[in-house]
Parts: sequence; C-alpha cells; structure tokens
Amino acid sequence: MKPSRFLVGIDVGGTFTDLAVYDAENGATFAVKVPSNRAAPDVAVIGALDKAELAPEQVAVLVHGTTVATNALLERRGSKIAFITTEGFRDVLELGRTTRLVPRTLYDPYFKRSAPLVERRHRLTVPERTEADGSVSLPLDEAAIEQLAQALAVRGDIEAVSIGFINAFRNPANEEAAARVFRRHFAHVTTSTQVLNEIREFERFSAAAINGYVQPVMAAYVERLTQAVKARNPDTGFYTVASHGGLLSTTAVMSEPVRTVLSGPAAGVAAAVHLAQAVSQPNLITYDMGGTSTDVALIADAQFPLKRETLLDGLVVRLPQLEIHTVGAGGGSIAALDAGGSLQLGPESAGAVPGPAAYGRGGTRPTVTDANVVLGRLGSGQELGRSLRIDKELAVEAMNTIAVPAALAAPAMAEAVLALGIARMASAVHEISVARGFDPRDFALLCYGGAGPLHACEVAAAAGIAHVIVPPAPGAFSAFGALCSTLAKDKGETVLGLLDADLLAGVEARFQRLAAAIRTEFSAEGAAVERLAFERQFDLRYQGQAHELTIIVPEGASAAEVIELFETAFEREYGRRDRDRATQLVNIRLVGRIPIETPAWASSADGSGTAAGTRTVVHGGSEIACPVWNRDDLRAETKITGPAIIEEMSSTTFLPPGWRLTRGAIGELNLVAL
Amino acid sequence: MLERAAPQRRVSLATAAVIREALSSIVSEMRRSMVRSSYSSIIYEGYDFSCVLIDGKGRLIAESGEDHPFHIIPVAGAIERALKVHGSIDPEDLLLHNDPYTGGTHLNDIAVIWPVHAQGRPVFYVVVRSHWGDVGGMSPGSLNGAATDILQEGLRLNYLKVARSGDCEVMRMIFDNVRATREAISDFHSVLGICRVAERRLRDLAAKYGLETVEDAGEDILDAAHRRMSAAIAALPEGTYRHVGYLDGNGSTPHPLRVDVALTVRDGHLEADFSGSSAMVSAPLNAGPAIAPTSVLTVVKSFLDPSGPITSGTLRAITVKLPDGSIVNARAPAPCGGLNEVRFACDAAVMGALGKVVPERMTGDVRGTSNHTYIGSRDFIFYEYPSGGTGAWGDSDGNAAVRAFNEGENVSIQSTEVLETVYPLRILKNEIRPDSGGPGRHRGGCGLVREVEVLADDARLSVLSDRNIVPPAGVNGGASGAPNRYTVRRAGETFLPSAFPGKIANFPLLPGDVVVMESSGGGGCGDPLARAKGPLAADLADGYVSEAGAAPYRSAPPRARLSVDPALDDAACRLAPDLATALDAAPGNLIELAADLGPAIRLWVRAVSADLPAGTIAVPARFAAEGALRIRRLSTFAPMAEPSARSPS
Repeated sequence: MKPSRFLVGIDVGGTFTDLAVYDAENGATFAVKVPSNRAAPDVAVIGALDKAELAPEQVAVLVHGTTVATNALLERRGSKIAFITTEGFRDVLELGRTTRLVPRTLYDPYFKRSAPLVERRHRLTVPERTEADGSVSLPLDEAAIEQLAQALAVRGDIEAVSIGFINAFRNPANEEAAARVFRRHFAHVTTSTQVLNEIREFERFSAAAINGYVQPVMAAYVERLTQAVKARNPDTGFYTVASHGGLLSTTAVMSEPVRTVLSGPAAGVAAAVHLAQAVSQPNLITYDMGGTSTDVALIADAQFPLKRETLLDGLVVRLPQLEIHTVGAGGGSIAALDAGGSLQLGPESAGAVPGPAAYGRGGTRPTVTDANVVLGRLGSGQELGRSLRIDKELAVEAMNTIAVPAALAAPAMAEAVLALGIARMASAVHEISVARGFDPRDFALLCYGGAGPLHACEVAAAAGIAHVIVPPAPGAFSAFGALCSTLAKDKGETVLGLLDADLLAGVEARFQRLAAAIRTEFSAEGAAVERLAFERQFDLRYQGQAHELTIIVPEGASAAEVIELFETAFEREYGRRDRDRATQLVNIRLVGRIPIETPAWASSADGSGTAAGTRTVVHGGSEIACPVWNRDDLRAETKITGPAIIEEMSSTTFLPPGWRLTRGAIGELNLVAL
Repeated sequence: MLERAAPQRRVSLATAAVIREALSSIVSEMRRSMVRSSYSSIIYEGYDFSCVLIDGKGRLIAESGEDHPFHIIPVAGAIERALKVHGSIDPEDLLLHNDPYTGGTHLNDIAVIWPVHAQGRPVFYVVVRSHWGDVGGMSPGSLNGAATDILQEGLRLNYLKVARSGDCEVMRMIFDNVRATREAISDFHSVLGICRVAERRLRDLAAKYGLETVEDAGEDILDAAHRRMSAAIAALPEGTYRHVGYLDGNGSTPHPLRVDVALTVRDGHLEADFSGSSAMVSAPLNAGPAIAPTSVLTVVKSFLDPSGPITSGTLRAITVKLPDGSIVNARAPAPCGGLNEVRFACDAAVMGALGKVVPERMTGDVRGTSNHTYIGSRDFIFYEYPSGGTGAWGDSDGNAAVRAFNEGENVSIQSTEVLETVYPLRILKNEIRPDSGGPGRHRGGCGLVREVEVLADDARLSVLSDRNIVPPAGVNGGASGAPNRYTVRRAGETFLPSAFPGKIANFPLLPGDVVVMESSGGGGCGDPLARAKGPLAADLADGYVSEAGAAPYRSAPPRARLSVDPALDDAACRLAPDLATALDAAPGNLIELAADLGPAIRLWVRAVSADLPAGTIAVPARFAAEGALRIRRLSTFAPMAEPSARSPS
C-alpha cells in the first residue's frame, strides 16, 4: 500500500458539503455528503473528512471549492475596510457606471442598490496624481499617508485597507508607496494594480475593494482549514479552486481571496474539461441544475471557456473566470399564474427552506421538483441524499393551487411547468452556443447536479443536441471536479496599442517580466516550478470597438498570425470579419500552470443487468409504465430504450421515449436520441 | 390528452408559455449581438438601442425587459402608420423610420423594420431601433439645444422603403448626409445581420409548432397581457386624477412649459387625457404622439405591475388623448430632439396623478432630463449624460446617481482612465453631490458632480438639459432634490455659461477651463422632521448631507393657508408679504407646497399682495380642496422680460 493513496475533492455548497474520494490504488471513487455549516464552513469540511474515514497519512491531496468568499460578499458579512483613493474620486466605488448592474430592474421604482462594500466615511482621499501617460504630476506625501494610517489603525475597527489610485495601471508607484506605509499598520492591504493591472478605474477599484472586504474572513477560514488538514498529515497538499477553474495555494488565497468569489461553479466546469478528454468528446455543453438556478457552459476543444467579467448582486467582478451562464430556473423555482392567467416560472424560489412542497418541510407552492414528483419522474417515497423523503400527495396538492384555477388536472399543469422550464434552459444553451457561432449538433450535453439528469434529454432535444452524458456520481461531480485542475496564477497588463511587429516586441519583454513574477510567487509557495507551463492570452478587438475577445496566443506568433487567430474567433462569434479595421491589443495576460496529481477515470463494475421495478410516469399527457433501474445494476452491454428511469443516491435520470441509454467506458451514461 | 383547454385560450397554457419564452429568447439574442458587434460607443456602452418583435397584424408581441420604454412602446403603432404610407410592405424591402410626428422618438433613433413573410403575407416584423451617432443637421451629433426647426436636427425618415440588402441608392444618400459615416455603415449592416438571424429563428419556430399555433399563441399572449394590466388598474379606486409636470423651457419659450394629465380609472381601463399641455414650441422640447403613451404605460406598469410584460395587449388597457399641436403631440416643423425632456415631464405628471390615488406607493421624482453634454472640437466629441439621484419612497432612501426606473441601463459617464487616454480632457472630480438628495423622512438619492478640465484650445460646450430650474419633486411631504446645474470654472471663478440655465450651445472653452456638471438629486418622501436620528447621523458622517444641508431636517418650513383666487392661471400664485419675506421669494420665483400625502404642488409667484391675510397664499381654483400646506421656495430664477432676445445663439 502506497503511503499516499487518496485524492480528496470537496465542494462546499450552500446546503451540503460534498466530498469525493479517488483511490489512486484501484481507481475507485466514492462520495460523502454532510450538511454545510454556514457559520463555520471549515467544520463541515473536517466533518466530511471524518465521515469518509480515510487514514490521514494516506491523503495525498485535498482540494476544495468554496463559496465562503461569495457568501461573505452576497450577504455583506465581510470585514470593515477603508478605501484610500485619489482626491476627487472618493465615490468611484459607489457611482460605478451609474447603472443598476442588476438585471430586470428597469420599471422597478423601488430598486435599491446594494450597499457599497466600503461606507463613504471610510472612503478616504489623498492628494496624489498619476497622469494618463504614467507621469506622476502630484507625488505622494508619505508623511501624510503615515499620519492617516496611524489614525486609522488607532481606531481599531478597520480590518483591511484597499488602495486605488487613478491611472495606477500606467504607473503603480504611488499605490505601492502608499501600500508600504499601510502595511506597517495593517495585516490586510490590497492595491488595485496588485489584483487587476488593467485600465478602467471602477472595475479595478472594485476588485481591490472586494479583495479587502473578503480578505480577513477568507484568510482566517482558509488558514484554520489548512492547519486542521496539516495537523492530520503535514504532507497533504491543500488547495482551493479559483474562479478561473485553476487551483490556488493557501498563501495565494490569503493574499488574493477575490480570486475565489466565483469558485463555486468553476470546479464542475474543470471536471467537465477533464472528462471531455477522458471520454474523447472534446465539445461539451455543461448543464448543472441546482435549487434556484441552472448553470450552463460551453467547452470547445476541451478548453476552459474564459470570461473576464461578471455582475454579482450589483458588484462588478472583472477577473479571469469561466464563462458560465446562469439562468433563473432550478428545481426550487416556483410556478405561478399571473393576473392575466399566464404561466410564470420563478424568479421566486422555494430555496432550501422550505424547499419544494414534496419535501414536506412546509412548502406549499408548486416547484419544478414538485412537477417531477407529480409526473412520477421522482418516485414517491424515494430518498434524496439520505435526508429527504418525497411525498407525492403534497406535490399534487401544491400543483393543484395553480392547476385548478387554470382548469387543468395536476399532471397537465406539471407538464406545462416542465415544458416552460425546459424551454428556458434550452434558450440558455442556445445563447452560449448558436448565438456565439457554435453548432449544438457538434456538442454533447453533460449534465450533473442532482436535478439535471431529470430533464437533460428534453433540454438537449429542444436545443438541437442528440447526445447526453451523465457522468459517474453526478451529484458529487463538482467535488470530484476540484481534483481535476492545475495550480494556476495569472498576471496581466494593459497595453492599448495597434497590433504590429514593434508592439509585439515590446510585449515580449513584458511577458518575460510577468513570467519571472509568477515563477517567484510559485517558488515562494513551494510549488514544483520545474513543471511550470505558461499560456499567453491577448485581449484583442478591432479599433473602435469596446468589447475584446480573449485569444490564446502561442509564444513567438507573428502579428499576422495573432490577427488571424483573432479574426477567426471574431468571425465565429459575429459572422464577419472587418478587414479594413486595425486590430488593437488591449491587455496581455500570462497564465502559469503547475499540474498536481489528478485522478484517472476508471470503468465501473457490472451489476445485475436487470431493472429494479417499474412505476407509472405521465409523459405527453399519457400514463406509461416506466422501468426503474438502479444505476449500479447496469452492465457494460446494457442497452435501454426509453422510457426508463435510472436512480442513484444523489440523482435521478429520466430517459424519455425515443432515447437509448448505454454505459460508457468510465461508467458514464450515454443517452442518444434515436 | 388530460388537458382541458380553458375557454378563452386558443392554444394550451404550456404552448403559450413556451412560445412566449422562445420569442423572448430571440429578442435577447438580438440585444446581445447588438452590444457585442457595434462600433458606436452609444450602442456598446450606452445600450441606446432596442429590439422587439411585432406580429403580422402590427402588434408588439415581445421585448426583452431590458429595452428602453421610449424605444419600444412607440413600435406598437408603427406598422399601422407604415401601411398608411405604403398600403403594403414587400418581402424584399425593409423600412427605416425616425420621424417623431408619425410615431418616432427623436431623429437620432432610427428603427429598422424588417418584415417576415409566409403564406404570402407578413407574419412578423423584426424591429431594431438604435441611436445613430449623427443623422445630419446643424451640429455634430445632431441633437442640440439651439434647434428651432426639425430640419436642423437631421434627416427625417418616414417609413422609408429600402432594399433588404441595404445596398441601394437611398442608403448611399443617407450615409452621404450624416457624420461618422463609417460607424453608421458598419452598425447598419450589423443591424441587418441581426434581423436576418431573428427572421431565421422565427421561421424555425413556425416550422416547429406550425405558423397557426404560433399566431394563436400570440393572440393568447396579448389577451393575457391585457387581462393582467386591467387587473392592476381595476384594483385602483375609480375616478379622475389630475396633475401637472413642468419643464424649464428655454430662452425662446414660455417658462415653464407644462404637461397636464387627467387620469380616469373606470372598469379596469385607464384613460390619460393630456389636454391643457403647452402648445408646441420652436425649441427642441417637443415630442411626437408616441411619447406620452410611452410615459403613461411606463409609470403605470412600474408602480402597479413592475414585472408585467409590455405588449400591445398591455396597451389595450390604456387610452391616451393628446391635444394636437401641443408639446406632447407636435406637428412639423417643431424640433423634437429633447423628446426625453418632455417624456420625463409626462412621467412627473402621471406620477403626481397616481400619487393622488395610491400615495403610499409613490416615490420622489427622478432626474427629469437626459443631460446631453457635449464637449467637442474639430478633433473630438466627448458625450455624456450624467444620471441623477433617484426618488425616495416609504421604505427607503433613493439611490445616488444611477439609472432610474424609467430609463434603460445606459452607462451615463465614462471611465476617467479611458477618457483621459482618448480625449484632451482631464477629470478632476467624479463624486457624489452632497445635499442634493431631496430631504424627507426618506431622503432622495444624491446626484453626482463631475469636473472636466479642458486641455484643447478650440473646444466648445453644448448642453441640452432641463430641470435646471424646476427640480425633481418630493412626495408625501418630502422636499425636492437639487436641480441639475452646469457651470464653468475659469481662473477660479465659477459662472453660468448661458443666459438660460441648462441650454448651452457652442460655448467657447479656453484651455484650463473646468466644466462642472452637477446632476439632480431625487425627490424626498415624507416629512424631513420625521427622519430617524440614526439615518440622519449616518448621512452626516458619510457626507451625503452637510451640517448646513441638515437644516431642513431640524426646522419645518412655514405652513401657508390656501385661499382660492379664480383669476390666477394654473401655475400662478400670490403670496402674503410675510410669507414672501419668510421665504425670501419674489415675483417670478418658483415655490412648492408640500402635501402630507400625495404629490407636491409647484407654483410661480405672480405677485406679493398686501391684500392677502398674513400666512396666506392665493392659489388657482383647482387647489380649492387643499388645506394648509408646508411651503418652500425652490428657485429664484425669474423668466426674462423678453426671453427671445436673450436666447443662446
């Protein structure tokens, strides 16, 4: 027996903390689920580890995706921070773009902006000025900064300081000088250029403010957790999933926790990229249906889908992240009739509490999950995650609250609710594929999360996809996904110039600098820098446009080659090239990656090869007898033609008529339209 | 089938819902493509465009929920009007439209109307309305405060037939007569591409469900929208409710200009009668007939059913009557560049009228103007339209400078760093404007203050802004926000660059001049004296309110006794000498009477009359029912004796 045997992935969600274990010795995986602990998420993580009963000395790597920073931000439970900025720019953080930054708030006279992360009284200005050309027209008065820092420190209630100066992306000297002073008085100091070295002060200042806001909370959390893990076994590697799907060391998380605010859904996409390679299906659309929303992402050619900006409850997060499109329809979304008699779904959600009516926790309004129960796709009495039992009568009762006024029977209304939910999710798939120049027929739909496999075939059919993949243990896919990534760091700079050979020559020197900086940081964290590999990204646009496309550019590419890469991507996205326009290089970014040990997918054992029973399912207005399988009973040669239901601990798959199911090489279910 | 169709439905509930979802998905894709592929900053940052779908009978059937109300609601009448011009629209044509008098907004907003034919008839129209950077006319950008005739604002396109390819003589002529031609051509072709994609998706939808089913679902969608809006209106007490909204006007128009509305609620139907509104003017402060209905629907929907749809079905619940030749229904050649100024005055009037029915639901008023601000020279045009604070309501303070409920998600100010990289300008200040939020139990949101230093030696300043005199009103006893203000600082001295505030045309700027843009605060809600100690202390600590600005929270303004004088016209009052002294108010000044419940009343002081008993204000007959009200002075601006002689040139 090898001393280091287990790779452990953990996904800390809002309701449950999932843990997936990969046994390197035999390729087996298993999953554990415990309730999350809102107040002390690390306690649930350790609890899940205990429950898995792994010998600590055999745990090689522990990777976790976490919503601690996200929740601190969304629930405004972060630290009290001060923001130091250029005189005249005190309110950049509050004014932003003078837009609401929250979808569907037009026509809402009671729209209330979420509170700024830094109260105005704690936004302090200092005389200093860097010009647009990088020259410093007003040097920093370091003595005055020292006084200010002392005064703030003496108050005792400020936990973190973030600094954002105008035009610092051109020359961070003043920011860095101020930071040196504040670091003498505060443990948590962030400069805007440290977290996002790009033009646009609002986006950069926001990144710095978010970093400071979540830093004390996140640093304390990750430090506690690291200590607990190291106390069990000092040799266990411990990493956190970042918003871009890469992994961060604890040192990196503590200095730039803003990198984890979109950690939650990133792990699942990282796992999908890994799976794309394992099943030789490089083009995947992921479909992760949760309680209140559904996340979809497009993976082309087994590459991470990149994005640079997200709106999060009225905040702008502009940092490297994965392009994940969220649509407001999940298992808990509430169906209702409006005053005109139209069927509506969401945005209200039954959430985790009370949850769908069928859960018997006091919910009385019909949800998507209740529709599945009414139709028999989820079986009455079926246990979900070992803690919930489904009650069909409650689901029917809830469905009737809207079915009766519409003069429909409960099953007919349930089918209507599902039809609307499926249409909405298919629209989301359309938006990330066809609307961006991809043909859905070239993709398979990879569905995970508990509820996804219940409607995956119908969503696929509506979106023009003929192949659905249900991975092993779909309910623990995100936890497993945490194990599938590499350590990653990125550093960027704004260039803002027309792309030509001269500009590229200058860019080369910048890349060398960035590479050295990344290497130094990795070394300091004790990472295996001999395995460090770099990827170069260019943010490019036609001159005159505002939106850039991020292009991965091989080292040594000529200007003509870079332009060709850009125009190919542009043409796919917009259906045309604008050859008479010059190409502008806005930002460069260098991503450094160091692989860690990742699991190999293994085939699963054959089961009995027979269905466990049948139950009645309503489909297309008729009642049909539907075989119900335990997933463990499938065999390599099993072929099932729909209708069928495949149940497993954390998920249920519905195979509609007209679809056929087979089990693939790594135990994944392949559902194909006939 | 287990399903029993309810009698009023043509298709099943599920089919209607799924087709509604599909139509909205098509509009969302159009929006996304517009933003991502445009070369005009007003599109890709300003989001100044909208996409909608119209059915074969010319009825608005789908929008995204993010489109500008004033772009999309006028579309509802476009096809009917187009057919009056053409009789029929051929499958190989498209129509261009921007003419305000026949349902457009202002000339810069050009609608591309793209018919989709099947079975030998039009079954849909795809419409994209977008703001062109320039449509010709007397000044770069086309919009300008000095226009006296619509021909100075650019080309009028009245449902102009154009070949669908976009390559034709008419387009060549149009592009030869606008500035920023290259962007215009690129963006126009983007729009055509977007229309083609939308057409393909509509055809796919018809192929999947059958055209008849899709059309029947459309009828169901319209009926349901009508029922939903009717239900919201039916919940109001029946009756007629009247209020007046005001515009500053400019140096060549009367001051103020008025939008008068009488809302009548009966049988789940709303009638809005704008009789009594000012006659159209020779200034860009007019609107065509599509704008007041837009305002009525926007306000009614926002306050009564904010998450409801906008379709022609919604509009069935509302009738709008417009006096011909007024600022809300202008005729050629009245310039309409400032349609939004008129629209916001309509919003203020409709909000006030609604405030008499459901005062507890109302918010203080918002910015009330677009604040079009141009700094330009031969080499550059800088264009912004700073947002203002939003109104407070019964549960909350307003927001600091942000797009209001009746505006799309435009980015109204640019990034300092981008701007300093691109233009010969420096930003000295970009901050919240203290004390600008209307005092109240809940405070209106603060406006912003922006200082732009000019480095070029040949720059000029043009501004089309209103509500520089008449500020956004408070509600339920709350006070007004600070009005919008534009000044120039030169060698340490600050001055108004025009005789009439907010209307500035080609003011020459010197290097080193600082243009100071201050946007309005939102109206307050409730009595300022009732503001809780905690929030007031927090406002002082945060500097949203200064010590001096806290006065309205500490002492009440005088209460005036109202006495009716039938000889006074609708906007005039007379003050007893003691009131005039207490308010420091003189003839020509604007005063406000704040009711404890409902909208504030604005009146202009006609005279200080010794014959009035102490503490009395003489008011027009329509205020006969009001009791004693708190009185405040809002503005000392007095209209000039011969305004036309001093109009900005």
